[in-house]
Amino acid sequence: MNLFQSLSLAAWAWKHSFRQAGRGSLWVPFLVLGAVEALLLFGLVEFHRPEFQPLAVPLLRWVGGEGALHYPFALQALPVAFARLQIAIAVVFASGIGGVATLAFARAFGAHGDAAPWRDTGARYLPLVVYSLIAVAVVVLVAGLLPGLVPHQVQLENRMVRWGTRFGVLALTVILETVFAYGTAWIVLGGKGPLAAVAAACKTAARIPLASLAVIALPAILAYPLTYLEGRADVIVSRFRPELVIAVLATGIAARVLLGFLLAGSLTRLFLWREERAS
Amino acid sequence: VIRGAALLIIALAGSGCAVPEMHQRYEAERDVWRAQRDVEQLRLRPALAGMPVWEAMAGRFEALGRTYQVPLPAAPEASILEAKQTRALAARSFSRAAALRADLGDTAAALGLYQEVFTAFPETPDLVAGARLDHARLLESGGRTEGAITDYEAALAALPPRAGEPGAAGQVMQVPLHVARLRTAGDPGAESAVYGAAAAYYRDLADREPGTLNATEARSRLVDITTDRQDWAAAVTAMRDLEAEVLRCPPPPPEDLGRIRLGIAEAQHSGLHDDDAALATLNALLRDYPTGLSAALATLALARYHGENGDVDQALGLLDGMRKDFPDQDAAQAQALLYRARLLERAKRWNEALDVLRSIPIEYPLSDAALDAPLEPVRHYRESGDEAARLQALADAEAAYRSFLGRYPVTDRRLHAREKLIQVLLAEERYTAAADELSTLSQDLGPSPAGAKALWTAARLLEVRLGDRAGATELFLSAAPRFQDTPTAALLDSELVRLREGRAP
Repeated sequence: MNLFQSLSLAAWAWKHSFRQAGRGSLWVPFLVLGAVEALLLFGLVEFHRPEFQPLAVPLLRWVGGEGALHYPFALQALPVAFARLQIAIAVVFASGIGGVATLAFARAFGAHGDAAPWRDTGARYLPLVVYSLIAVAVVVLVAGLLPGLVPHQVQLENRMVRWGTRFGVLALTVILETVFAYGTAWIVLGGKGPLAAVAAACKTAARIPLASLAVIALPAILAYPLTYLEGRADVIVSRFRPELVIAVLATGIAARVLLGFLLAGSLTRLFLWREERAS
Repeated sequence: VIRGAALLIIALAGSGCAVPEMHQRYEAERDVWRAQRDVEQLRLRPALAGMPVWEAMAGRFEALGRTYQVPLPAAPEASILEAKQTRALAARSFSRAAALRADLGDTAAALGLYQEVFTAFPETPDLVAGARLDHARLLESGGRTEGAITDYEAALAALPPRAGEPGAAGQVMQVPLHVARLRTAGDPGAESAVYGAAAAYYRDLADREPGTLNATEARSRLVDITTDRQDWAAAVTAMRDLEAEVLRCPPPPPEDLGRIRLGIAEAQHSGLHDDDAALATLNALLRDYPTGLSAALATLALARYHGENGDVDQALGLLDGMRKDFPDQDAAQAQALLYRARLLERAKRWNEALDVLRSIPIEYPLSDAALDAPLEPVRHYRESGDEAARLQALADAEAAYRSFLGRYPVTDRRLHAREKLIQVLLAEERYTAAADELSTLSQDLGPSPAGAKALWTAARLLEVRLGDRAGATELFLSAAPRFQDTPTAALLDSELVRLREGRAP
């Protein structure tokens, strides 16, 4: 499949995904995930309240030391603390939500008409968590290693190197996410175990690499300005209102709800298309 | 992920360990930070901040102080710690409110707020000492010296000095010397006893903590004591002790060793009139500390020594060497060029001197020498009796100062440049222009005593030199809002009454 065909395929998947935007039931998993993220963000912002201290205080202290428990430095440490919390959310919660969304989209696209997304995902929850654990560990470890390969001083001094590293990390993350993109579908639609899903996901991604890459890259690129702002919390705190950091993170949650819908729908559409062709 | 899971387990295990006082402490930090940010923004836009705005700001800090003046719990330790931090923020809020009240001229309210800090927050000795110092300064500025001395000494008793640290701990080191100066000003006969007590304090501190910042700082104050008393022999000894103390400290040295030697040479030259000793000290300085500003200034001092003794060639040779050896020391280089011009003038090489003078504002435009240079030809032509050249030199100097003021709108040397310009205008007998510049200078200086002095000089020029009583009245009237709530306001009112009644100044 050439580049043009791949991009056409990706556009076709996006179009199918957009067409489902009017179906309220398809939004439910993403809204639930957004609500959980919002609740956890609220807990981190209000870490000083006795009810949130047991979880939020150790987390903030872990990422920013004692200073992170004081205003306004707590807001400076907030994006890092929230990012670490999101890793746990991805494994424990978003893995299941991904399963529900995949089943719901598959049913909406006319496949697996008898599926009950929440119940069926409940039955496949453990494999989804294990798969998610593997995928998140690989993405975090490999993407986390790249900035370490470029000397910190060079990044500080050279603007080109700094931006090169940022886009390198973004590109590597997109590639790794593409490799693991179809695992959830293989588990909930294909009935595979987590390790078999890793192999099957790699194969599916290898068969339609450019289309998969385009589908994954679009939300990542659209969300990049917010990701960048989250990384510049120090500037936001020192030059603007510290509370803008909360607004940036909350906007990120809303963006993830929208982009998550687009991503899950497009990947499910591509997966079903690939399986229809294979059979 | 594993760390995250472990964190969750720890968090759940520790769910009973919440510290309710943390919430209040965080809210206090947020509220005080926001108030402080608003103050900073108001300071950036002073035109928007009238008296009522500052009054409200002072009230806001005071209210924060009252809100967060929480009682200290008996236990547990974490709660006590959080409550202490909240109370420290309350104490700081009171101090900020007091500082704003003092700026607004409400001394009584400011003193009351400082007093609140040092009576209600005994658990924060650094804040108490800071409030005591501010209270003392306010009393001192109001002429209540005895009360100020009591507060200064209470601050020192509350907090041991820690040289180099920010806040009260770093400031209390000055207290014994400052108290000695205050007591001597009130009773010159007590000088020996009060300075003796201060010296004993500093000597004791330096002997107790040798090789520390505290000891270095104490030895510096001992130098100040000797120079205050103009006991130059003792000053030389004290500076040698200071140098030895600095050398005892771990590197980098907390004070510039070359600067200390330079001080010794200055005391030997100007105080003891022992030029041979001063010369030996300067040469030793260049041998032991051959780089940096002190070495450059020592070379300049040597050049001056030879110049004063008529050895112009050697002096010029040293200045040539200085240009080569210390190219980065702009301040010293600018002074050296000015001195070179004076040497050349003395050697009857005026044209060369003039070239050097003209080069200073080009090479070192932001130096003091650059502002002094344009007036040198004026002096030269006045002394040589060349009136036409003097007037031309005055015109050139005026152009140079106006160019400086136009070119550097934000440098701290603007006031200096404007003063020089006024000097030129007065020499040219252009009193209207001089009065205009004095009025601008007064505005630049704000409601300070120096600002008031410039205003008075401008008004006198208008009234006495130009006979323009209406102009003087108008000038005072336009300046009145600036001096509102300052001691100058009453004087200004009486001047206006005098001008209206047509009485002579």
